[in-house]
Amino acid sequence: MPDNAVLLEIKNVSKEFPVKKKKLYAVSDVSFTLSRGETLGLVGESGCGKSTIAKMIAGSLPVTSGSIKLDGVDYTHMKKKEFAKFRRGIQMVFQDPLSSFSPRMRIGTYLCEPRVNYDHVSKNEAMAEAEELLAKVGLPAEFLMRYPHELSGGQLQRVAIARAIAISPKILICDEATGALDVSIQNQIAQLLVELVEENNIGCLFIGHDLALVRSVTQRVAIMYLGRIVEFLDSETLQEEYMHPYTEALLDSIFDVHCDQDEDIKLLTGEAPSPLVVHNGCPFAQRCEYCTEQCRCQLPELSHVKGTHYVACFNPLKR
Amino acid sequence: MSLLEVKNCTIKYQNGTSAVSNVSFSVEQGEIVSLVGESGSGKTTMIRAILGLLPPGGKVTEGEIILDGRNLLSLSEREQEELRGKDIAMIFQDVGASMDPIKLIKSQYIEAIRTHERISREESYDKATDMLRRMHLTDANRVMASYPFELSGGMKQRVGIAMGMTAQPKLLLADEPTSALDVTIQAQVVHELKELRDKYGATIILVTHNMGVASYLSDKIGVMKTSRMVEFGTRDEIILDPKEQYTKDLIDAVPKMGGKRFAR
Amino acid sequence: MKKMMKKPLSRSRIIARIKFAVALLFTVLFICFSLFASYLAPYDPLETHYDHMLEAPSSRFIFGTDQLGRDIYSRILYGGKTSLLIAFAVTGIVSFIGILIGTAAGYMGGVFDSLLMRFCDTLMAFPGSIFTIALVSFIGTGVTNMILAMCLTSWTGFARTSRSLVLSIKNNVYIEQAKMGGASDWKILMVYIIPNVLPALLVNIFQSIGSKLLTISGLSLLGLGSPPPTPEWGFMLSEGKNFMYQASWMLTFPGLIILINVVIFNFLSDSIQDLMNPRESVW
Repeated sequence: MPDNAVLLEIKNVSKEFPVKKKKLYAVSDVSFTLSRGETLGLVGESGCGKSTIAKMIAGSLPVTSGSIKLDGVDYTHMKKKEFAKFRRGIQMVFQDPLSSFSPRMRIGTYLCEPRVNYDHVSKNEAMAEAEELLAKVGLPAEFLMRYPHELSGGQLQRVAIARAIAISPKILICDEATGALDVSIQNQIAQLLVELVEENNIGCLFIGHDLALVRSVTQRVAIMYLGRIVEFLDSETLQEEYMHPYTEALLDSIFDVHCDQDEDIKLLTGEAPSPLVVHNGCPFAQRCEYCTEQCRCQLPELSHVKGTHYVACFNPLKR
Repeated sequence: MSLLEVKNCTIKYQNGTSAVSNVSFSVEQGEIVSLVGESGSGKTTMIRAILGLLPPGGKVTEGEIILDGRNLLSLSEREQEELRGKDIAMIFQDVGASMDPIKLIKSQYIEAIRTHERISREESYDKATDMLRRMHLTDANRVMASYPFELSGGMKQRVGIAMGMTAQPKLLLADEPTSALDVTIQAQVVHELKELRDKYGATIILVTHNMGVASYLSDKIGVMKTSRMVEFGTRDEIILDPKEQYTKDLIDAVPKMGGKRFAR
Repeated sequence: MKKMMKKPLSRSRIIARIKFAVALLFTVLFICFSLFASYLAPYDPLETHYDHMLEAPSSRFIFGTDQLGRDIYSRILYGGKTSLLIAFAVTGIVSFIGILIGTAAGYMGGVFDSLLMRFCDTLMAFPGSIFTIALVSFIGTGVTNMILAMCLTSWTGFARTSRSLVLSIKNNVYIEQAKMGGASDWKILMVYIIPNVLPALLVNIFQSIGSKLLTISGLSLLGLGSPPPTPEWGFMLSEGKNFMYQASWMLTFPGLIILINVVIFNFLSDSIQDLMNPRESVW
């Protein structure tokens, strides 16, 4: 298989949750692809649907409509038994390190689990592999006998990553995987992830709310707002080429360490509207300073700008 | 004379570990001072000690905390209680959790005002709505008639700041007031804090792990690492010319938009 | 457990441990008394001394004798065997069944869960002891029937508690992780869920032993327990009440022993709860 072959293909995926008599539109009509060796960033504020997408890709939430294909196989309507074998191709690392671990299970057992369950290797064999895995993520072998609460957040996150790659998945989903860590540790984990993705030639979906961090570990970034992707960007040139007003707002909200204290912050007024209400127009219209009549009544489609750059906006920022 | 002076403060927990060791710093009237550092560095313990509310087992074993010439550590329980809310107010990371979920904002707010001031309910209500408007919650009457769960995170945080500021405390302590918020909302709250100082002359101690926020807001910054204050100075000294390697590392570790990328 | 104790122990922690040790010591002591009754008892519990009927406690019969001249001390020792055995058996069966059903219901959810819980509610709607009495009188007296009746009426408590515990951990990320790691539902239940709810249930289990002791005595007191000659604490009370005014010791000692046992088991469960203080441990 060539290096840049499409690994994961998500097409027109939507997710609705019934809330009392209404519907909550968590994800609406999202499409994107992910190739081998590529890391795609998914950025947005809480409630924008990014974790819902992760759960749907991981198969723990059914889609309302649309298809998700891994290596050409649509698994959204697979039978439970079939999917149980299929899901080894998709592994996930979560935000909160401590709650990803059963408090009464040793690190060694935790690391052995996927191999024992999927490939039925013996416990001893799996344990030997676990030791190698620990070395791969830069942890000593004696951690095998430890319990989760004896490790720091960064160490636990390393273990979680080691377990995820134990059965050589095709895709690794990192849902805010560095969100709960201190900045210095955050960078180490980010670095480790990048190395592993390259080394194993897997596809990685990196979800986060910190645009600066996500940009640093990905090739492409998708910006989400209220269940929709509003802009696709190249990470490298993100800052120069962004066109969507929301992307601009996200960039303006980052406080640079070397910022000018006298400069006023460019504020985005208001808060994200409720996902319970159906909007005819652009989801961002209410908070957008460039909003026109068209934005309020018509939904902008993602349109191609150039290369991998797409934007869903009627009045994109001129460059 | 400084408004607040912390001198050689050491705080120990029951099992003998020091959460804060020999920390000294001072805060002038109308300043924003940030305490930055990684989790477990003792920054939250430090401001809790100023408030006089250390977690059970914690105790200031050495040093002095002097607010406006009074040593806070020698005050009686009653005097401390009077101090809290009147002279010192605190905003928490998750204001929502510190509110009563089954009471309207109105009744919580009015109650809070009336414990420190002998004024009528109507006067308190007016005072509260006035304060909420200053925090840019333009629809103050609706906010007052809401339950905490009906407000978004950013709104709750602003209500929390408004409640803290109503009694015009000499000192406002803010413990990670923006960490639980989304970036665009964080920017709004940072803006309110800045305005509090610029317009109303509030003195604020801000505890945060976000170096960017600290850099934008602070007049002075204290860098804490494993219970010690490794560096304390003006914002420019710390950000532009850090002396300690740890401070340099901390500043470098912050992801920057134009910064280096790991991915190819 | 040991691994967590690296930090220096706080005072409350030390007290909790001492409490637990004391409670455990007494529990073991009482169990040993009953187990080795045949060595410790001075007389056969069924042996009658017609010349010493209704005799007050003396150096020869330290707890006195009953209306047939049987040694109350020996009967209490032997009776412990019956009472404790039934209490342990019932608690064991009930907690096993209850925990299994409760965790399965909580984990699977859906129709199975609702049906089961409605069934539990229905059973729990009857007052426990009255329901047991009714059942025993329906299926007949005797030790086995008593155990059966008690099991039927009290597994619901365990099912309910363990279900709610499972619900509280079911949505933890590590369950999700386990599924991604390829663990089957059965394995998730056995390896990820039960070990994490069991510690919290230990408290209930030991408390249950105490309350079962009371139920057994209650049933025997009403003559629904073990058949007459068998020494049993509740039955001894029942016999004793007929001679309350002539021989108060016939009531006093068995009553006291039941009281002490119930207190000890409650104390034990209480101390386990302190040991598992969530503030200081990871559960």
